[in-house]
Amino acid sequence: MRQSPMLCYPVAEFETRMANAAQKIKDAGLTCIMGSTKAVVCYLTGLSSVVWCSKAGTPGLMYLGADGHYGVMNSYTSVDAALYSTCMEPEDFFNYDYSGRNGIATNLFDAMCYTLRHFGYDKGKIGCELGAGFHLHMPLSLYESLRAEFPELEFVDASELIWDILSEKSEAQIADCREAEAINLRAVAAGMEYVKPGAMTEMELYKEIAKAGYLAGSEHFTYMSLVSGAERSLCVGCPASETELISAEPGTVIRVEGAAKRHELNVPFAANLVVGGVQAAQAPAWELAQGMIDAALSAVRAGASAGSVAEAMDAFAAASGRSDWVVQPGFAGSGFGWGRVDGPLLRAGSEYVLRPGMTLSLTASVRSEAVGMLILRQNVVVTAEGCEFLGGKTTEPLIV
Amino acid sequence: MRTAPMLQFPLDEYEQRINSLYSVLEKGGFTAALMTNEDNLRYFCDYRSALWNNEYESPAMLVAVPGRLVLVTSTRTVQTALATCCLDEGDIFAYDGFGEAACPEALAPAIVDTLRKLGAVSGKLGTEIGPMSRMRITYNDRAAIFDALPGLESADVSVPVLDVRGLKSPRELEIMRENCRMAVDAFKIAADKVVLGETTEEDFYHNYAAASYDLGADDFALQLVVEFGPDRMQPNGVAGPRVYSDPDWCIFADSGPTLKGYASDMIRMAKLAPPTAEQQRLMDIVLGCHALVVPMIKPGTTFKEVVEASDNYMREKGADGFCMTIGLLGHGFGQDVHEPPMITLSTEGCFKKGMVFTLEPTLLHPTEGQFAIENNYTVTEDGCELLTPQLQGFYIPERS
Repeated sequence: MRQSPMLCYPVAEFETRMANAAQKIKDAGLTCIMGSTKAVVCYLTGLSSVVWCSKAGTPGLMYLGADGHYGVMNSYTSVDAALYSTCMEPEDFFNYDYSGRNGIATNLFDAMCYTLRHFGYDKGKIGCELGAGFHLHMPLSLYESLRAEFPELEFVDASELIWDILSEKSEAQIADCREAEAINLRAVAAGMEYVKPGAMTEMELYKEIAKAGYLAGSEHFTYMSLVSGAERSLCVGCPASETELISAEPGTVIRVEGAAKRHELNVPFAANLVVGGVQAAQAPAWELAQGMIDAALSAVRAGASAGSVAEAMDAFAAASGRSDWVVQPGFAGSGFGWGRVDGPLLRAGSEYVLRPGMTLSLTASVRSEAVGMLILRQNVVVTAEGCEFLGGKTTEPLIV
Repeated sequence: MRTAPMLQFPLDEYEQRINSLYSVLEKGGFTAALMTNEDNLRYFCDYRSALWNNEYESPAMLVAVPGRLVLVTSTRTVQTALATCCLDEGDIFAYDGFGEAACPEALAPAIVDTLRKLGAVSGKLGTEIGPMSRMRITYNDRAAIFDALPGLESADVSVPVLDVRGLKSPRELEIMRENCRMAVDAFKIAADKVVLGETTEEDFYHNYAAASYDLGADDFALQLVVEFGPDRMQPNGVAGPRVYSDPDWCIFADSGPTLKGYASDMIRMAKLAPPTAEQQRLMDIVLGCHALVVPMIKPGTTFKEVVEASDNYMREKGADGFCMTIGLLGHGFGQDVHEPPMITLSTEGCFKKGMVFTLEPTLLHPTEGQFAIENNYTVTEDGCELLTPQLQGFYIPERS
């Protein structure tokens, strides 16, 4: 491995990641895994490319074996970008070149077949991103062709294993997450300064916040939702409207959700700007949602199950007599990083054990007549004794 | 159909698109089509959501049978569908937990139930499994649908659907013209802010993003590629921490903002000093390629003819050895930044009126660095229209 000019972290970190992943692959009885998604390829190799957001190609597709060998397949035109950002040596790339001038094949499929055979991974079990939390970053027809080409290779779902590999973050990754959280806060603060209730549309405010997110250093600051008022608050995940005027009526909640990104790690936020402050009729919903988050916070610690966090949240709602206001009972949030939602899912009944270094986003959604839908989010890092805020407390109303 | 509060185009635009989809089903002998990705949902019914930014959630899907189009979503997010999408309430099927991270097991049964309700239980089910397509459904969920409805056989619907999307309507062209113009204008603004010895590639990108929002853009599909200096020849690489520290370095930027769901994709180059003779020679080769092939393009011109002409030109100029775009000169774009047609030697077919595409002749010179101008065009009745006329050649702030 090598320290390329834009490798995000020390090469030793990637050596550790690759070795740990190979051990988990071995323990799971797999010959190798195939990674096609940004989460897997970027985590293991550092490969950065803008093409992860395109459907035209697969910026890097990799195999990692239980024996510790690995290889990345990509197009010849992408290899310079890959060498500039990854920990891989030139000989770790198995390139295809449509023009036939370079590489080991003229298309991705042939490169994939060649590489599987090269490593002797053409028999046994190959773990793939087939289940929850993954969508293969290749045309499905290509995957089916690969299966047909290797009848002695059993293609199995390795989604849970892969999320387990990805879920622990290093100190350097957590530092990037903290930086992204700070960007979120700066973007929202810019929005608070700019907002003019009664004289501005949702879209106008959205653009200002997005702009501030980029200027504060986010690598990407899109997929933002911005809704204002009780009726619009029911539109979960809705983009900002160009025509909806933000009301100046006291108690109007402007819910802004999005995620800043640093070194490919996404850190989600949900900010609730409240015109004139929370009104008396709205207070019970706020108290319920904040209490649910607090209950979850006290349940998070290394060694606890993911399910116990959701159960603590539900228990608080039940004790407060407001279970019927809870929008997603049995769900307290999830990990985050490669997307706004990563494994592990904090679902009731889950026995997945939390570990130090995991980053979790605790979410509480409640619905009442006075506020519509209220969504609170608190990002934390799991520690041995409990958890700590990623940035600061983010569940308070932001009064404008 | 109905005019939803946030619907982007008048209803007749969607009626036309949906009728085209019904024609695809009829011509292809499909019983039904399942469409899962963000672009198709926005195109056919204007469904929008900010919840696409993670791999655990799929906020909605479309099921089409001849004569009926249905949106499947979750009860939690149904209000977002009602706010954005043109389908009647009776054609929006909401299921508890559909597409939510909290409830991954809900998705496949909901699609199966929808297909049953629509009588689509045998025959060809079209899904987005073809080239330049990605399914926003896990492999396992897709398999579960076919397992539950064994009378259905899998077929690709992505190719004919992308063909429909490939011919833009006058309303789409109006937006794309505006967006392509903004893409280059934002480059000029960002280049004007470059300070020798201070501005980093990331700064340039962030200034570009802010300028785009100021000019009217509302999103970014891809991060902007920004590269400073002759050794930065990493196509599709991300902007890094490098400082612009030599006025003889070129500033290279690729991609562009999004407006109302339509992408742009330009390459422009700038410098803080006049180009050297060699830099100008290489830029002239690039511009000469555009000048040669663009007059060839009109409805009926084959993609192969254009690429052959470009390849021959590069050979005549002695540039074929370091021309990255031998055999592949450009691509279509629209909802996605990379869409068919890929303008390659091996792509069958020809230009058609209403297509929007890029041409990006690119040189990767071993010592001078990369030289490219990526322009956007649309095919007209008898030729093609340049959508990005600004800043052809080097832009030199304070001199241009």
